[in-house]
Amino acid sequence: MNAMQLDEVICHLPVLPHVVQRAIEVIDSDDVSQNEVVDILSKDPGLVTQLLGLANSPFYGLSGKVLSIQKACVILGLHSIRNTLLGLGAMHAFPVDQGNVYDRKALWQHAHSVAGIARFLASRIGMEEGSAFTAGLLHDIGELVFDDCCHDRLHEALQYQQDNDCYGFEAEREAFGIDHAMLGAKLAQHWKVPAVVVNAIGGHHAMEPGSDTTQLGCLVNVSDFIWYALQISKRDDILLPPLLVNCLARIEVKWSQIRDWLPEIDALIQNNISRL
Amino acid sequence: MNKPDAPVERATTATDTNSKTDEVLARRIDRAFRKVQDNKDMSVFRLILSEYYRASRPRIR
Repeated sequence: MNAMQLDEVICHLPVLPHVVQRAIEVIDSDDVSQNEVVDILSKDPGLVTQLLGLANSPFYGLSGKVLSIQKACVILGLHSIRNTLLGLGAMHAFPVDQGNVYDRKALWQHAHSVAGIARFLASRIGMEEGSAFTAGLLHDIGELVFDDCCHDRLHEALQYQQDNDCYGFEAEREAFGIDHAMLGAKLAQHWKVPAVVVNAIGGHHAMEPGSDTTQLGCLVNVSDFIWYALQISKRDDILLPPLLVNCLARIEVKWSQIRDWLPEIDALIQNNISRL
Repeated sequence: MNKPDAPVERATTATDTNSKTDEVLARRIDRAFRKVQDNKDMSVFRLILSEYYRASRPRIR
């Protein structure tokens, strides 16, 4: 897939719902007003329900405390609301029940779990939690793009992966000339996702020497890795993704800390999966 | 004439179940780790994960 074909694909991708776009525009404006954001979001009751559901999920640790969109804005802050809206908007753009090649429910469950792990780690190491959650939630969004508009070639990529016992992102590069991380970053950029999140999405599989993945990208890479590791006890077909060079050092985490956190992270994932 | 003794079926013990679980896990771990970097970091993590799984056997399917 050359650059022009890629631009064509991106331009025809689903857009974020209008209410989400408008709310994000207002949050990003200089004279942002909380009341205006509440007014905009209130026009989509379904979205508000989902937003409150996510705000009250175990990942936010606010179970049962956020009962209205006004309260969500106060407790979570507009920055977190913005990040959560992006995630919800992405789920609207790639609905669970419209998968072609991939099981979208499984993809979204993975995305939510990685988002939760990223947020958990961010809270422990003093990184910004909202961006960590959003980057985790959107990190594999490129896979949904492949699933949405390139099914035939995606079948070829999956066959290549099976024949060569390689990683999915390597097979994608072979079939499409681009992997889901790079493609996801392009879509996120198209959606005007904050640059720090775009870079994290694009860098979470950047194994090439000289790749300079950001700290948030390293956090997503580690979170992804932990999710796969915690599935080994449940599934026969897990292949751990490669960790980026020095990624633990980049986020200032030690293996001993990961060992201590594993039970909590595992419980968090179990709790989350049962809700999705 | 005495009837030959019926074969005695040994009851499955917790040790048997644990051994089987360990075997399943060892196989899954070997498979999952087959392509990750073969370095000290991965050895450490592999050990951490094995310890964690041993401690949470009842949940392993």
